[in-house]
Amino acid sequence: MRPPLPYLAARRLPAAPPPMGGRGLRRWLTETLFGTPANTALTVLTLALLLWLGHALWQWGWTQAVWQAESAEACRQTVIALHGAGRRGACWPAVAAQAERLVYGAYPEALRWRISAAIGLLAVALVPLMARDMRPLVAIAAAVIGGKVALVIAALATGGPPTLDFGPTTAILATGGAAAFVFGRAENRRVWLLASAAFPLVLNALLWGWLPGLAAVPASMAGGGVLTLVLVVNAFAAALVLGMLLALGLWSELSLVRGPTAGFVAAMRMVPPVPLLLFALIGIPYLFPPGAVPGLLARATLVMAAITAAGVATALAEGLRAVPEGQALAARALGMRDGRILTSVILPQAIRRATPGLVRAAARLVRASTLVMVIGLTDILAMASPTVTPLRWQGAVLELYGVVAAGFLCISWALARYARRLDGADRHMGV
Amino acid sequence: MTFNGNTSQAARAAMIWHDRHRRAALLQTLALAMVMLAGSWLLGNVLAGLSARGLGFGFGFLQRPAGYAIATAPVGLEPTQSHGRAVVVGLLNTAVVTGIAAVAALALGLAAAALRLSPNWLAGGVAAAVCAVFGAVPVLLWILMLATAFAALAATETAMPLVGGLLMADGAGLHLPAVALGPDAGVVAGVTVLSAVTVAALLIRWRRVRDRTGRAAPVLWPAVLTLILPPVAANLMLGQPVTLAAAAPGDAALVRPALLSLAVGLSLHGAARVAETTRRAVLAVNPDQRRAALALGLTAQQAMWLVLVPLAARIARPGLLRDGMAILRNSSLALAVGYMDVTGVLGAATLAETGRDLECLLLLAGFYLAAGWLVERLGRALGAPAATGR
Repeated sequence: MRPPLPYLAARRLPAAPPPMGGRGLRRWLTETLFGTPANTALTVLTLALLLWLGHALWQWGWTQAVWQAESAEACRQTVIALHGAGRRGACWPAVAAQAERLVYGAYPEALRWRISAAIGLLAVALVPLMARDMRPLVAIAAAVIGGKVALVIAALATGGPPTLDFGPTTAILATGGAAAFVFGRAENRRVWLLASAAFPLVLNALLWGWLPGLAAVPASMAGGGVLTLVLVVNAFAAALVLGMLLALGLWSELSLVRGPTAGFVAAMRMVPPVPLLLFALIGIPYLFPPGAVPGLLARATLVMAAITAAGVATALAEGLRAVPEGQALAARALGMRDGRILTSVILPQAIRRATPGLVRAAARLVRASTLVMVIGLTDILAMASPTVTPLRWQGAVLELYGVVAAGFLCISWALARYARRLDGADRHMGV
Repeated sequence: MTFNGNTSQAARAAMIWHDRHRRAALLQTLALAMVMLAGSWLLGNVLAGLSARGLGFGFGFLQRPAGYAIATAPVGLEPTQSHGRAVVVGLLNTAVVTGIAAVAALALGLAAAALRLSPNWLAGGVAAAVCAVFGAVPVLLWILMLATAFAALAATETAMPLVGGLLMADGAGLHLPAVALGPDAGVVAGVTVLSAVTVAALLIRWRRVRDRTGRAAPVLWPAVLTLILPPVAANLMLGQPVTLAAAAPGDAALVRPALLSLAVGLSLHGAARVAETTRRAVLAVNPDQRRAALALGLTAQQAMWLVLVPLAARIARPGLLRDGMAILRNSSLALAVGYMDVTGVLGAATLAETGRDLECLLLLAGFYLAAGWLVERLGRALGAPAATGR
């Protein structure tokens, strides 16, 4: 008999075979890796690819690598002499020789303790942003100092001269760690956060020598990792302030405020960073009277800040929209003024919801900061490129790029992971 | 709000601030005044700068000869041709590299997402790691690394045959195979069109039959065979009027290292984004949808292709559009490797040639704004993000 609807089954289906038996390791292997011929083939192929890639990397970076040489050409000759023609090996001396330039650029050698101090301060400033209390800082300080003491003990044990490498970074970490140990409970986080907020100012004062008694350093001296650090920190600090204003503009009910803000945010999201950086190079000087034009680094920072501010504003505006309307009404019923409602009730909740988005905006900024090399600023990526590398080490570009890529990978990956963890925490917040 | 007659001056002032409508008007007036003040100061500086430049302001330079050449096939630029044509060439090049990278990123990204979602944790883990690496490292670094690798290849000056000699890589770039057309090529083309029309007709008919009876006919393999077999057979019977000649150095069909490194870098970075977008979309579909499909008697394959994929596709659409937009934005990195896209033309070559910096930057920003606006409209026309089936 034909069923009333064409897609209904007309007869009873035969019983399906029982689910796969077995248990433990064997069942798990069958389910995940070797269930069907196609899956087995995929597993074998992936394993082969992994082995081949791992072997090639191992060979290039370790067994056929050169550890001591005078130039990239000497590296190449050594590899050919030891392993035969056509073989390739990493030239690690190039990285060792260029490491200082990669990190410090042209920053005066005698003043590099400032950068070490800034890195120590950065570690102290990041902890309250990423953790509830200051215990991680205690752990970091203990690990660094413990490691150095262990090195001294190891040197004494082997009979070598003990070298206590105790620079500004260690000093600051030790001080900060001690302060965190005494004063690092969660209820003091607000004070630590305020100190963190001052970090961009301290960094600039330190690097450019704004404080009395410090020799001034022109912005053109910054390059490599120092330039990347300063650019990212300054741009993100400015982007947080500008982004907050833009978010309030987006959230505002006043159309004369909201319209232009939305236009600015959309423009910053649509026009790519490279044309905007070209605008920083060529266009921004038109906006200022001659003689009062800010330097190229400041202009690039401004543009990166504007781009990041658009992302920050979008994240914050989403957070603002997600705060239930009843919160503001309840606060008003309690007799709070409008400004107080905003700062004490709405913004704290909005910022909490927006934090993963802010971290992602920071990660995007770290990646986008490499683009400034297009307008001739020598950031860490530009320092690795063959145009800046001295002729002697020019054959070892892959190694230099690889080291820089690994650094970006670590930072970007850590930020992405942190954002994902915040996502999870947000879900558990029950909002 | 009512007041009884005699309100003091201070109360009047407070009244303006506490009345929401009046306060809104006041704030908006203030905002407008501030914007206008800042704008007039900036505009004054710009006008002073323009008069110092001494060129005036205008777009007449677009009709003057460019004075530089762009060697991209098929549409290039001679130095005698105008700046306007240079802009068109730049736009075409942007479209070419964005199109290549978008298609490659979509294919690679979908494959990576499928691997990450498969029960095979080994392949999934490798795919996740590869995506993390390509997503987390700045795309400019990939592009520069690839450009360096191609430059190293150029230094060795040996041509490297790939895919059995069909492709040839050397210092000039990647040579594509040439298609040689014989006298009967038109017949082969006709057969191809005919089989395509047949497949389209069959697909429509199959769909009608399926809607009426609920029975799905096997579609994929008959369609593929109908599409491929007749043209190949015709080509063989007519004595191969259409042949694919192996690439040789010096051929016209050359993909230059700049385009190659840019396109590969953009595709890999874009693929990482596409994979993440797709994976999230598939995970956003309610798992009960699959269970319900299985309970109705659909096979796992049918549940996948008839229920999960259509639902996930609707969720993924806005994100995929964003990923495509990101590829278009990142294509402006062409400037770093010397590929003449619209940024290379307007932001560097024409700008340096004419000295019309503000005009060029305005045109450039206008182009990207227009493209972004169009894509946004397209996204809205395709429909708002659909329900997740939850």
